[in-house]
Amino acid sequence: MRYVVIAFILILSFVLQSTLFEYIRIFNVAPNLLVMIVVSFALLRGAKEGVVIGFAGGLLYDTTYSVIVGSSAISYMILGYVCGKLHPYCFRENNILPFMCTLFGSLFISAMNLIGFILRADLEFVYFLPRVVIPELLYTITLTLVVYHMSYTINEKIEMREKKTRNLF
Amino acid sequence: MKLPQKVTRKRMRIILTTVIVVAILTSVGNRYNITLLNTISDVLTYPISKIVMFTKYNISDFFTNFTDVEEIRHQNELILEENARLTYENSILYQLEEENIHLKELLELKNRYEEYPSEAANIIGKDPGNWYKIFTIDKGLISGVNKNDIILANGALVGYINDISPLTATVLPIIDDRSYVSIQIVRSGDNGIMTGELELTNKGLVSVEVDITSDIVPGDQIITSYLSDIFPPGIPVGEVIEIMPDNDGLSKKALVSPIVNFDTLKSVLIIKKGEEE
Repeated sequence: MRYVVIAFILILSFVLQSTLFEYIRIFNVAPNLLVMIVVSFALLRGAKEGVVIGFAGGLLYDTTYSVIVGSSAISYMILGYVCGKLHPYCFRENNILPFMCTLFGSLFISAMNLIGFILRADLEFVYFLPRVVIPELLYTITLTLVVYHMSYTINEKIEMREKKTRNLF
Repeated sequence: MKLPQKVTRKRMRIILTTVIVVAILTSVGNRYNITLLNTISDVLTYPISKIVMFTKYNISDFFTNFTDVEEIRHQNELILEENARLTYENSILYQLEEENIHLKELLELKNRYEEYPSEAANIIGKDPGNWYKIFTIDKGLISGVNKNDIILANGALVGYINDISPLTATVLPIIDDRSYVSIQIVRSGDNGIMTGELELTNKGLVSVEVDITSDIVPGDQIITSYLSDIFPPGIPVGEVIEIMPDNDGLSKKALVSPIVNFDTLKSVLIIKKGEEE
């Protein structure tokens, strides 16, 4: 049940991002939905699930849009793991931790992308930082609390259901 | 964690069956040259993105119907005028064409890409990130498309197929940062390398690097050169709009505006070269 729901969320968010989200681009910059989803579920459920969700989401992106398979799967996996390690310190109703985690998570994903550029000897940080990294960061963290609360309710519902099925046996 | 024996046995069975199924899928995939992961993600995402794109296009078409009537009437008058003028020009061009064919035969310069079979395709998804400009189209191996096939729109170069799976194909457009194309300046015949740059992609421009001695001015037409393995020679690419000062004294850099508008691109034409990988 849980896996089906999360897989459906990942696929739906990926498809929406690559089709309809081009309309909500501001100055040609789009928010990174995958970072928000990975961070929220990792904080709510712990490192193990964070790793799986991060890997699956990154791999979905890799197989479709990446030239090298694995680069974003690894980076989202690391993100899921690190955020999942913060799970014990996360009060679910508290908004500060998911907010900070998305901020640093978005920076981390941008840094991983920058490594790809550095490996091809493209070193225009002066351009990348104000035009791509910072706008994406701002856009992502403004939407993060919405996504966090949505995943919070979804998670709550799944957990209720799981409790019920456990009581039966 | 302590589990009853029944559960461990069940788990072993599940693991074994998954291993066997994955092994079978990989060997089948290897045999028919289909990548396993691509296929799985394809089957998952293709129907949804196809439906979303379909409804999106239809809804926007429906609403533009009402707003466009007035504009279309006005345009119709303009087009009728233009038509008269074009018919006249066409007759002149027809003469020029015959002359051109004659001259081409003399030079044995055949426009090779006109001979290849072609197929139309729709764009069903664009890279969600802000770094690259890759997009996917709704034709794949099943439709007889191969890797490294050329993608055109409006008769001008868009890019080539970078990755292929049974239902979809991924196109690396010329404005992407990872794309490199060997080009030629029509007027002077000088060769150069055209590459996308992240600084220019959002404006829809590309940069061209040519030798310091080569002859290039704003307004020059750019076509693909005869040096490339992937691109047939003579496909129009765009027009030079600005020459940038070089910094190393060995090369010149020019900004090129492609004929294709990548922001509004909806459907493309695949040129099948019929080559196996």
